[in-house]
Amino acid sequence: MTDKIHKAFDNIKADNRLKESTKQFLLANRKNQTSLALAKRPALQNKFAIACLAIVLAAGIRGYLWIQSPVSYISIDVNPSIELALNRFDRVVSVTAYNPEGEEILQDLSLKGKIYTAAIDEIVENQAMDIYITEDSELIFTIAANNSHENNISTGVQRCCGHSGHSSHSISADPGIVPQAHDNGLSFGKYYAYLQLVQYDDTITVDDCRDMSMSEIYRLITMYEYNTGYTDPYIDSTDSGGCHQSHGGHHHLH
Amino acid sequence: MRSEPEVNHAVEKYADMIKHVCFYHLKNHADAEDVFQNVFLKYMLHDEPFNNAEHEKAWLLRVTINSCKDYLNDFFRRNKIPLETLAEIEAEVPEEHREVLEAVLSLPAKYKDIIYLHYYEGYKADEIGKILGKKENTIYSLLSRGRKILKEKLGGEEIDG
Repeated sequence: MTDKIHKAFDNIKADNRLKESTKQFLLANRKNQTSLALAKRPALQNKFAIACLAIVLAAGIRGYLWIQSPVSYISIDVNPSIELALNRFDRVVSVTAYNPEGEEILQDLSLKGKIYTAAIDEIVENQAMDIYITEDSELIFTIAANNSHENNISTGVQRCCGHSGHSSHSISADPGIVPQAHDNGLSFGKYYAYLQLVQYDDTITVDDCRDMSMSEIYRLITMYEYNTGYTDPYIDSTDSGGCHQSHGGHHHLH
Repeated sequence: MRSEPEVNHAVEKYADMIKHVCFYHLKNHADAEDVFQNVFLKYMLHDEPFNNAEHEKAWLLRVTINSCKDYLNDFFRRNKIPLETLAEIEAEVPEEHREVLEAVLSLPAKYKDIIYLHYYEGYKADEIGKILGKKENTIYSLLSRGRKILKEKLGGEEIDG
């Protein structure tokens, strides 16, 4: 029986026509597969290149944002109110004027990217500043930075103002008040002064302070301090007669 | 992808075997040729090496049987009337062998593979089990039942093996 099954199936043959047509069919498919593979290869390479580019771009953007994000602020207030935002490398990343006088000072200055000491010198020594820095005015630098960095900036600021030869003061403020000041449309230096004043006179508003010069605000603060005998424990009340620094508080003004 | 000489060699070597399997499953030349060519296309695209010639042959049998089943499971093909009838194909076979061929082809599908693999290709139950993915005992029982049905169809003629 096995033999009969063998003989029966032996009559079923794949003829030459079927074999040859199969070989042609396979050859055509081989060419298609090869061209598909060749077409796919650049696409894969492109995808890889695009992925690499995306990673580099993402890293670049992230790095740029890291460098450009402000970590400390210096508010420069006389009557003009100007605020410098500094990056991790103490370079100016943005400059904002908080009143028309400040805008006037900044209109001819290009401070972005400069180290903050150079930026301060340019502002203070600007000719338009001359009319605001007088014997009766006070140049107040208010610094907001994290604790470890605040001392470095204060030292740098003192050197600037000492170099400029003006009667000036530097104050350290809590960086937490910076957003509140901006919400109220004030430089944080002036807003800090407002917070000092409002402790003695709760009828004073932010709008009142906006129109007052720093010397006017601090004159009122000094007056209240003398009347009440209040002394801010954080204030170093030693007046240098030139550049003057305090931490977390304000200075007695002349 | 396998080289052209390797594929052409396989076509020459296994063409008859593939044709047999396609034939007893599909029973018409057109469908058999479709599956026949697709089996060799799969072979050409199959990159993994075979351990030896037996491994290669078993792989081709498994792929052919599965391809035939897939082809028959296609709803549209299942309901299509073949242009070429079985009778026409059988006309190519000498009369003295036609009865046996008809008896094998008339078996239910699950017995045909086992009868062919065992009686024509000479595989043992365990080998058939590996090709079809079934247990050895299942192959034994299918082989026994298939042999019995074949004996009945052939008027009681005993089948050896």
